[in-house]
Amino acid sequence: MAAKQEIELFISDDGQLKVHIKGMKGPGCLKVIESITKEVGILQEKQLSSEYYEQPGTTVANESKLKKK
Amino acid sequence: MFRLPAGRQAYCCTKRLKAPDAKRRYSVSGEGIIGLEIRCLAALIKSIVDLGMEYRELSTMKTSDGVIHKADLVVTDKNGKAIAFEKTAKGDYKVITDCSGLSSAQVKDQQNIIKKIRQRYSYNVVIDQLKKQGYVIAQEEKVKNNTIRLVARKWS
Repeated sequence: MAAKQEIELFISDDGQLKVHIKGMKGPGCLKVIESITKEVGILQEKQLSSEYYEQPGTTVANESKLKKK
Repeated sequence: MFRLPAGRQAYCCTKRLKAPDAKRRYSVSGEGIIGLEIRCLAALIKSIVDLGMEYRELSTMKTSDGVIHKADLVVTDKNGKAIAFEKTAKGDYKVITDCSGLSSAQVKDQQNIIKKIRQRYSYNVVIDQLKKQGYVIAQEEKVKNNTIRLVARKWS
């Protein structure tokens, strides 16, 4: 099933960017942040949640099992 | 260390399981703060044009300290003062202004123009980059402090 990937960005009045990646598991989220950084400037701070360390599709499989129960 | 804004703790994995409204919320898998560096002259020119300003390319600007700067791009503010963009050895463009003889209000005007150019540049580059990656801009709005909020989506 196709997964929705969403990026929320805040561009401050002097051009600084805040990027929030949603719904992306694994290193893909870091790649997105890095690709934007490459074009825009310098990555000053980053924070990766536990989802970053999950394999894509892990939660979907677990959720399916729970539903069957 | 990067701090999450107040109220965002519910998105972290352990608390998300406990939060009663967790299903209604989205999870943030990564966050980043990116400081702007102006690197692309074409995008800079587009941003200046978008803002309805005029520019001239490859010019010189003499500041009150006697230094002559080789400017790649110069815009003039409403007080007739030049704002120049000069390419550095690193490859990005630094802003050169000369505030001598300007009142504090005029200096503020100049700073506001620089901010507008920087924000527009950032906007143009980000939109371009997201579209190249297959994202569609689903939402765009101005929020507090003149910040632009964008939401980009794609299905994969």
